[in-house]
Amino acid sequence: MKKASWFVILLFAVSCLDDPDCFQLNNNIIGISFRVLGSTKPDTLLVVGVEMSGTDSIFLEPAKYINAALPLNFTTSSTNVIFHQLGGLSNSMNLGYLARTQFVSDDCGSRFVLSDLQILGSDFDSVRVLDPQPDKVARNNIEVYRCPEPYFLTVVFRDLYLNSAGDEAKRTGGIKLSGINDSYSSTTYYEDAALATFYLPVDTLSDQTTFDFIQPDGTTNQLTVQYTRTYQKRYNPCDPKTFVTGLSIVDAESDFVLSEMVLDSEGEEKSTLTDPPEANVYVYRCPRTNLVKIDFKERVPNTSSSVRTDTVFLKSVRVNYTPQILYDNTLATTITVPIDETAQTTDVYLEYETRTDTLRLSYTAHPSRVFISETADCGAQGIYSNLELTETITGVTVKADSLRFPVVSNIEIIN
Amino acid sequence: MRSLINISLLIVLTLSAQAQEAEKVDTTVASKKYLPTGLRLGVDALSLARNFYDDSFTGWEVNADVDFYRYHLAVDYGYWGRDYNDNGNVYANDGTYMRVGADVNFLMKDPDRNMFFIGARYGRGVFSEDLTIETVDPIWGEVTSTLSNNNVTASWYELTTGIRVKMWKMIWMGYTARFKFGLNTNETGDLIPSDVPGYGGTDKESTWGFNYQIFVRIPVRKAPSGPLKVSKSSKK
Repeated sequence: MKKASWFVILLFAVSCLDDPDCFQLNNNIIGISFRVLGSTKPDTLLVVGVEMSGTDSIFLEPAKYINAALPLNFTTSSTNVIFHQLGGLSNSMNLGYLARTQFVSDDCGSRFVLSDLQILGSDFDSVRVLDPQPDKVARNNIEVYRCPEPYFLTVVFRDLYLNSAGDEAKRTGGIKLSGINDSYSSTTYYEDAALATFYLPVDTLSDQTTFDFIQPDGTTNQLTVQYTRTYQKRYNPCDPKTFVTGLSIVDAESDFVLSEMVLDSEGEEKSTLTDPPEANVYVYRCPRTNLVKIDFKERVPNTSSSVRTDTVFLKSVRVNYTPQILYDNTLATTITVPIDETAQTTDVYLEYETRTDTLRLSYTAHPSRVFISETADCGAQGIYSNLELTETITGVTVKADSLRFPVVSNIEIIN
Repeated sequence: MRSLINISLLIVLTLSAQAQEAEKVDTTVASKKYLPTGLRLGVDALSLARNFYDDSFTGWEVNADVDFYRYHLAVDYGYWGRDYNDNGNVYANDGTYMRVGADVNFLMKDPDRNMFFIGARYGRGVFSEDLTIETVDPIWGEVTSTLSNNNVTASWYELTTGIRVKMWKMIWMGYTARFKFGLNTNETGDLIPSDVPGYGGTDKESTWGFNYQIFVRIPVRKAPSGPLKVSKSSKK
């Protein structure tokens, strides 16, 4: 018995045996990142789909990508990858690798082990292998470079406003435009766009370019920049390009109260156009003091007074003093509507799928110089108070009767 | 790295125990104590039993050791083959292997010469394997492949520990636990070895193994009246 006890420990030892893990056995995933020659910053590729040899599957959803994870065909020793891009462009690369097989277990079957990744061919401007080892998750295996197109001016719109302490403040704010025209071609950029940042190609045959920013009401604001051009071949895979330096603002006329060059972290103006582009010019606009914010709510089931944010579909939102459609076929939880600065009332038409509600708003305007910046004088602007609904609509209440900028919730609509 | 630490610890423990024991050795018997007193021949019962309860396994292993005072030269020789056929994968391998190494006994005062030992082995095997795949991948479609490795040589290292217990007259039993590491194979094709006879699965950098052994000990001479007998006589 004493001797037999020597072997009891064996039972515990045998229990240490384990089984292999069947999850994601193959290491056939590669990571591809996109770059611009001469830049350390990631590039964006507008991909609509990726084709790979050996399968009918389409990889990557249409989107902007700075890097992509793709599986290699482990049943062969090479995979041809075709990137279909926005605008009908396509680029491909043929990737070679060593594909080996290993039986794992009865339950798991076999796995495929890939290594020695290399570029067999490519029609991208430049491609290099950073890490030749594919993995189970994407690593940065391949860098794809394109030649730079360093002649895009980046204009960023910002709003001036007074913060809660009454001090001047600035923040990026979107603007709705009918389009932007340049002074050297008949091209219209950004038709019917509502954005804060615009990338605009300067004239590479001239030292100056003027851009017309056309607002929905037809108002045109101009921005003129001048610069120095250098035409040279900087990178072997690329044709000679025009490089733009010494950029400065010549003129900005309009209700863009202030345009200025963007400064980098060392206080230097960003006067060189780069690819990928970086903000070069800030365009400031005066505070918009006539904006009414409307929030959509719904009652919480089984409660008497609790409400929560509601998402509604709006076929259109219009106001009575302009034919402009403010919102068009939009899903929204909140909207911002400008009231008529020249009147004491504004009608707001909210067109839902099955009905149209009209909010008849009245208010009191107090013309005042509410914003006088050190560098920008916004002139007389209205201060609006005593906001009321002249016709009662069930579920619609005024929550704040004074208009503010940045906006506050003025009206709540409970559906 | 972990393997190196294990080896270092083992060496330190072994040398420490050896140094303490050396102080007690009577120099008059030292010259004879390193002569072998017996040859132990055995078979791995677990390997034999596995042929009956594991349909995928075929194999056997024989073991032998001979004592040189507290040190034992150990040699193992075996055969194993695996056979799987499931989920569109047919895999088979077979080969022979051999291990050579030494064990250090830490029970020198046991009157029955029972052993608790720690040791090391160098393992080497030659094997062949075949794999046929017929499956469907959701992305790449039908996957069909037949691959093989022939006469692949494998080598590895082991740290061992275990016991040997005298059960009745010449009959001994024991078990050996093996920590196996440092596998190296010399295949050149597209098939990566899956299972190396004597070592086991190759999917991890190290693995464990166990033997449950039955021995016959053939004495070749009477043990000298050295330290082995000192402890026994002191009890009387």
